[in-house]
Amino acid sequence: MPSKNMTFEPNANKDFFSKLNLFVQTHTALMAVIIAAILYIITIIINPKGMNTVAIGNIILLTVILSIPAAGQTMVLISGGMDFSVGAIMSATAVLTTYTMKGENGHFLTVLIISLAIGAFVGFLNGVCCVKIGLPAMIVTMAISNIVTRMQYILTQGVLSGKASPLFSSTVKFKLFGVVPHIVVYALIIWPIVFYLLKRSRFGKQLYMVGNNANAARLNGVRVTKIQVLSYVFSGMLAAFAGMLGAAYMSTARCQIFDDYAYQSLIAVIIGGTTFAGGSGSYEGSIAGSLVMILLSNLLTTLNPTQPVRNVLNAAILILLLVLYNRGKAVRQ
Amino acid sequence: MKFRKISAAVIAGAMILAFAGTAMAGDAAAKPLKLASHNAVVEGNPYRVRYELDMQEAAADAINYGYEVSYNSFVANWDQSTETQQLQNSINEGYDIIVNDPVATTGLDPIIEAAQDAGIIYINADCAYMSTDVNVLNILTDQEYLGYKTGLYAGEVLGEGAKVVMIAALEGNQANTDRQRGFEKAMAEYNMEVVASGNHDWDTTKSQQTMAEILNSGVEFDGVLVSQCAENAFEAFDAAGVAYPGFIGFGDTGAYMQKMLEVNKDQVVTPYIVLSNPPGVGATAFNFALNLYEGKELKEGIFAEGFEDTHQIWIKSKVCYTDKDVAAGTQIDGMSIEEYANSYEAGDSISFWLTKDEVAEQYFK
Repeated sequence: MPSKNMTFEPNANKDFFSKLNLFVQTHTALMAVIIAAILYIITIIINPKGMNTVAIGNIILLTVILSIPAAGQTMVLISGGMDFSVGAIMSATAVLTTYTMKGENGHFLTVLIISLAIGAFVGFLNGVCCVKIGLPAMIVTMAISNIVTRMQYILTQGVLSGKASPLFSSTVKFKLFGVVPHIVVYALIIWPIVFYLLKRSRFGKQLYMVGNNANAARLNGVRVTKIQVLSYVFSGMLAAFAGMLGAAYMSTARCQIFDDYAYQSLIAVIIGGTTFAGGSGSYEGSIAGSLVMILLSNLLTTLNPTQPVRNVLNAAILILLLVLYNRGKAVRQ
Repeated sequence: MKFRKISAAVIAGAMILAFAGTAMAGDAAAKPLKLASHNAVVEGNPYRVRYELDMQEAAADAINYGYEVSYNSFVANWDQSTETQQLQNSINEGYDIIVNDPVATTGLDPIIEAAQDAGIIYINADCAYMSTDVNVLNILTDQEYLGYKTGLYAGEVLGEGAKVVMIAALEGNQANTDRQRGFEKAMAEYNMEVVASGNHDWDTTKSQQTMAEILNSGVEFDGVLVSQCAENAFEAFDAAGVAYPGFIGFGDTGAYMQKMLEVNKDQVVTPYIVLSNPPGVGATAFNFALNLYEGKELKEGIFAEGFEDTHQIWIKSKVCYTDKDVAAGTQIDGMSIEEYANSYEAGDSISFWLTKDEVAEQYFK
């Protein structure tokens, strides 16, 4: 009589993998944290000196900056859209920040109000074009980001000018106890607001409903257009604020300085478990995804490959992560 | 009263006619010339923005030599087929001078020959065009010198066997290759060791991020060799809250010059070097073209050693100073270094270009 173990082993393996698959699919944010931890452990194994307060402070700082445009991107993706203009908005407000502050304290409020207004306006334009007019989100947001970029050149003639104020820079860069950068204070304000918006507010609940099934949401009395346009407006405003923080971190800002953040934030959000299909995802996942992005870049610097090899490795790892994490099926409309 | 009014009107009319006549006579004296400036990229690159602004200044300055230059700029956005198409259009539209900062080091032979057959003065500027099958003049900044000079000063300051971080510019770019050759030559002379490296691709954000990640790695080093974008690499030390390095260089922007003056105000904390990689090299190339247009001949032996077959003329960096020059009270263009540094906007690079007469004197028979 064959052993029971032999008979059931394949099924046991299958069971294990299906459970693992289910765990990965249902705990995407946790998985992003695990990946981040693995990346950091590999970095430390390769270079034990990599575990130091400077590194921890820098990682926190860069993760916070990336997590802010990622918040807006998360909202847009949950609603079923996509926003490629966050990088251009960040660059525009970074340029505006240095151009207006000119290295002098006392302009923060002016810059904040103008930046948020710019972000809201660009987000509104994105929303109207994508949702109201029904143009493809990817093309519209890219086209609008192009306009935002051209506006930077009109303002500056392409010449880098001005500097972030010393006080504002210190609120981002200086470190508490030599480890925790002051930017954490901004995170402690913005992160809870985003969590509230997504998890507790009516807007958040309607956002998930719209992303899951826009028709069903509409039949339930949700003003789908308004919710989707609002997600773009929030995305624009968050990107605008992230641009200001970026300018404080860099001190100076040239045109298009943060354009790459459009892709980085999108990838961070997807690694964090928010899918292109819409209707699912979380901000904690996006923060963890941002951490993965920063730690991956850190690891590649530690490995010290040549630039082309670094680019190939970076792309290959990101594609692998995207394949693993963006396999959620779209909900039937 | 009426007579006075009529007299005043007549005098005013006569003055207007006289001014108009003078202006027209002036215009008639200036020879019209069409200049096409082709560039691989402009937007997003402060160096190339300044390159085009300097070119415009040089074109306007040509009026002093009897030329009324109409200037047009064409940008290929790193696409060689667009570049070829734009160059062909310039040939068709009868430009007299084409100055090209090329997308790639080869691939334009037929179009260069077509321009030269059409009697156009075609000059390559800033980035080398390496084909030996066409006779094209390359007007370039001496990039090897920038790397070598920086490396030498680093060696002088840090001493024999120092450990350094090397942040290069863009892998595969000719200017970067030449610069790295200079850096490596100097590093070999002082037996310096590169303990960490990266590329910033001339991207300020990347320069800061690369330096931040190298600091994260905990690697110990004495100084930082960086191929421009030094102000951003230096900013990473501020952001990380760590001690400044024992050396940094080279940089060439207002932000870098001002920051280093501020850091070393009371005592030398971080020795540094400022070197100009002038965007005005395009404007200098235009003045080579003007001399060639007048039929002048180049002097013998002016091509860079080892690059005679590609007709490369390397313009030396005109502005070069270190912290020692600041302490010694050295002057640049009749200004103290502090005044000179503060005369630049944060992101503006040090620039200069040789006038038509200077080019004629130094490089033509």
